[in-house]
Amino acid sequence: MVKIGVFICHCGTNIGGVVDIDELVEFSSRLDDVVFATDYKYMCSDPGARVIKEAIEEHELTRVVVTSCSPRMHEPTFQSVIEDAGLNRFCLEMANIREHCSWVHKDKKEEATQKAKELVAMAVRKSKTLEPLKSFQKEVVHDALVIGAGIAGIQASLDLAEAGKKVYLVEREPSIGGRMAQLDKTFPTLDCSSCILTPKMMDVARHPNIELLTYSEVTEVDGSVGDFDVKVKRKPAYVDWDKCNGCGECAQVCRMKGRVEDEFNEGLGKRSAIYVPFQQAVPLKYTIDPNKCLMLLSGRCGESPPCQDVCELGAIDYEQEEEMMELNVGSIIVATGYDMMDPNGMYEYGYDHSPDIITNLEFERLISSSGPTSGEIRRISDGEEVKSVSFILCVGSRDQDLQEYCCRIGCMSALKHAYLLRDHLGDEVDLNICYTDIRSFGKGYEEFYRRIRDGNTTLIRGRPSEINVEKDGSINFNVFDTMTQKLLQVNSDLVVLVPALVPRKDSGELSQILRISEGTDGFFLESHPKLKPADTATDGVFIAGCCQGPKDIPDAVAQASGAASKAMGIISREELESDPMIAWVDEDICVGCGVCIDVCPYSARELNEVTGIAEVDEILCTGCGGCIAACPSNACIHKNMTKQQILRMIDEVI
Amino acid sequence: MIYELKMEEDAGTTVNNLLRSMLKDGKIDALVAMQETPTGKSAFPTMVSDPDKLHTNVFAPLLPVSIGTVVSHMTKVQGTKKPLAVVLRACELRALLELAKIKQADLDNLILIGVDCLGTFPMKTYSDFDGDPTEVLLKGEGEEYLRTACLNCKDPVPENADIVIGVYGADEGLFLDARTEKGEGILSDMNLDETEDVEVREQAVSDVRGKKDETRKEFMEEHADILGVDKLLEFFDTCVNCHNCMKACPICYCKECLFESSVFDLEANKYMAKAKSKGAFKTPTDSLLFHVTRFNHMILSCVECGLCEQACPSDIPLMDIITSIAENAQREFEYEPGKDPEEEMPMVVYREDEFQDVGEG
Repeated sequence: MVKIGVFICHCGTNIGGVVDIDELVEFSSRLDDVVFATDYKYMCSDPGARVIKEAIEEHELTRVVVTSCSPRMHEPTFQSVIEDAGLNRFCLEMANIREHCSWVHKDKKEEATQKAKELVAMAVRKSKTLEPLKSFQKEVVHDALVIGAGIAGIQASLDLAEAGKKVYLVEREPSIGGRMAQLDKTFPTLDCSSCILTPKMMDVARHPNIELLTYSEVTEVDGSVGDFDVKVKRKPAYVDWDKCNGCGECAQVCRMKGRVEDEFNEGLGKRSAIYVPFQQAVPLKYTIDPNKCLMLLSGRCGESPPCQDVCELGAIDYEQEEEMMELNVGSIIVATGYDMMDPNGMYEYGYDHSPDIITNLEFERLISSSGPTSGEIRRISDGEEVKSVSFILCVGSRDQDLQEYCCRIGCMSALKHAYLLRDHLGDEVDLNICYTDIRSFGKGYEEFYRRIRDGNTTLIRGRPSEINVEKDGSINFNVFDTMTQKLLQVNSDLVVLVPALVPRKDSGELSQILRISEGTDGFFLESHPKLKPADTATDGVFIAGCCQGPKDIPDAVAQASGAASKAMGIISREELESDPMIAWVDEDICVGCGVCIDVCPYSARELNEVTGIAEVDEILCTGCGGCIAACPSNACIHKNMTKQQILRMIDEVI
Repeated sequence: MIYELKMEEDAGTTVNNLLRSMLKDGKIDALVAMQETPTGKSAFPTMVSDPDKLHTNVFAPLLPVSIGTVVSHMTKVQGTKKPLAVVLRACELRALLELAKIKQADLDNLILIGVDCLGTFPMKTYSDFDGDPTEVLLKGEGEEYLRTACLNCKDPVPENADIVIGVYGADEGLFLDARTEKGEGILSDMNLDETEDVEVREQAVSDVRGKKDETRKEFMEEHADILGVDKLLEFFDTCVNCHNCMKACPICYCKECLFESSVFDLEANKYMAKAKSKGAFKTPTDSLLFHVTRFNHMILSCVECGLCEQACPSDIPLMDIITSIAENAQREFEYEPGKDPEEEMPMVVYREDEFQDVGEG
């Protein structure tokens, strides 16, 4: 016989302040098959758990209904509680009377109480037919995949590799390093970015536990936590990397030398069609740009291609083809970074009106000693001396029509650049920073800001209305300084825009491949904004760095280490417990139409060719319910969420 | 290529002779086509492999069962390894192609021979008919006897068959239109002449489609007021919950309908409680829910054969509402059932930006 206990949580005043708890207890105790109903201030606390355990014993309860918050919060808590008391953990049903009731109806106490009653009645009704289920174990693959080899991906890979796990590090560019490799100095300590990054890059290259897959992209991910099957596309470099020793003679003789826009230098320099992105590239192997190489484009390059002629190792291979590689990993860390918003969308900043209006990333390359000018700051248009530089912050950021969020690095990067410019060009140079608010929240940031503020950099609180480029090429703008309440006119030899950081333009494709969500801003969504910042909605897939949202290097590195430790939590185990609340097929009803196979995002459904029945792979099935909704015959059944159970619940309230 | 099939005796005999020679020449191993029953009161899809037992009348204006369903039963467990010809009407072909998409039929080695449909009569009208119903229809008369579904047919020309036997636009003989390589392979060495009336045929097909479109539009407008729960309850007032509509439907392919299971049965005290709260309620309780759920399941694939209406013992004019529901639902999903075997059913296609406006405002 079914004996149900109902346990009603006040959640302090969260529920107790809105719903009439006494009335709810009284109502619950009168429901069919309910033998015990009680309330407690915090059911999730230790004493609350004791209330449940004692009642299970005393009243010989067979099913437990907890009415409290969302099962997303505390379902595992209460499952463990009833398991401790000797019940099967799946004999628990929860009614969410907080998010679904008291929080949304806090001004309508009477109606909220009525709704709470209905929610409890539904849960009680369903609980009667709950089936005790048994979790099963699945083996865990101990290797990990890291997608993106910027600083976050590098850090995560090193952490995992150091812990003794094999890591596949996939990077779509020919070299690892990411955005950090493009930076000159890092705020607030002004360490040289490459000086602190390249040792880590070398560590990655040398680490026996890291298999580096550069110039490669993840194209398909199947399976689930503990056992993902991943397909990686290895793009042809048209250079045999086993032979290439990175001598670079090919790039010197390339007919396209000095004619191809150099992405690494943000277009400020030129490279050859055969190239390494930068001199400290890892791996230091050359790649042929298929969109620029004359040989690849037209099949001929002069009499004979000079790169092939000059390469004594015979590494050039125009016939090289794309390869697909299959990996099997237990966990995945995504660290694909960010794109910089194209300022061309905001005509008022005149980005395309003058070569002397640049972005801060271009400025990084300009001031870098490894950059196209070897760090010498000159006007880009005519090579003249630079006497004044203006930084415009929040270009597209903190803007309700564009990106609402703060880019979190703009203020500090502009302050850093101001410091470096003063250092490079001396006291004569006129420096202006147009800001919205200076946000210097990190460790040592405020102190750095004070140093700049106390110097002779002009800090203007305001955004220029329009940047004008005169016929002679000179640049000026008006800006209203809201601190001094004055309209200022500023002339500037160089204008540096600090644009918003935006998600990678193709991050949507990756989110579909990985089945992870994106927030309204387009960045990958963490599963809890505070408590699970590196987790995603897909178990076993973690996120780190700017692909989750704009952040500075320390935060990216911290999140990467966090993600690595979360991944370790999975791949260091021998077995994982699998949730038994998954799909099940009634073989007498299934007609083998295959609709479930088409809709299953986890490849967990397959048609048995002998019986013609669509079967469930219990390891791959995540219980998402797609097949259950799609199956027209009601042959797909969600364990403990059957159509019959749902109809009974509906019946309870109509 | 469109060939000309010279008329012998009458149209039915002409096609019968054509099919017989296909059988005799070994182009096909067997065929399924409409063949009159010995009483002459009816005709049923019949499988024939002996040329001497071939007495088909593919023009018999009768649809006792969809050949789509018949072929589904014949090929679902395992498809045929030898060539099997299936002679069917446009709505039957649409049904068969829909069933193949959901693995309820195997099209391998089938030769699909479509027949221009002049419409069909209700079963009883056919069996009680004074005279030869086929002849009346071929003469271009007898429209008053047609079933509602046929009057408003969405397309009576089965163009996506391998071969189409054409009546529309034919004067002396019949058209034989090879629509696929498979069809051409069969017809090319049968000593047939290419027709000189390709344009006449095309014009006739386009005319009949235009005419059907108009009738159909008028029909839908006439019944546009059957909207909302109250009107639907009234419409299904005489439904006896026999589920015949579902059983006759070629698209309803479930082994066991959800509504024939015990999913909707409640504990007695729940019925009592319901009676107490409402005072009284009609049983069975799930009549309207059954129909609405059935539409929800099959309407995107509905081929509008009207077999549901023909099967209803209470004479509920189902096509009065199904025509509009199918037309509108299929338009919303930009889906044409039974048109292209490669076109995926909307149910299995995921589109991120689908129906963004649902739930807005």
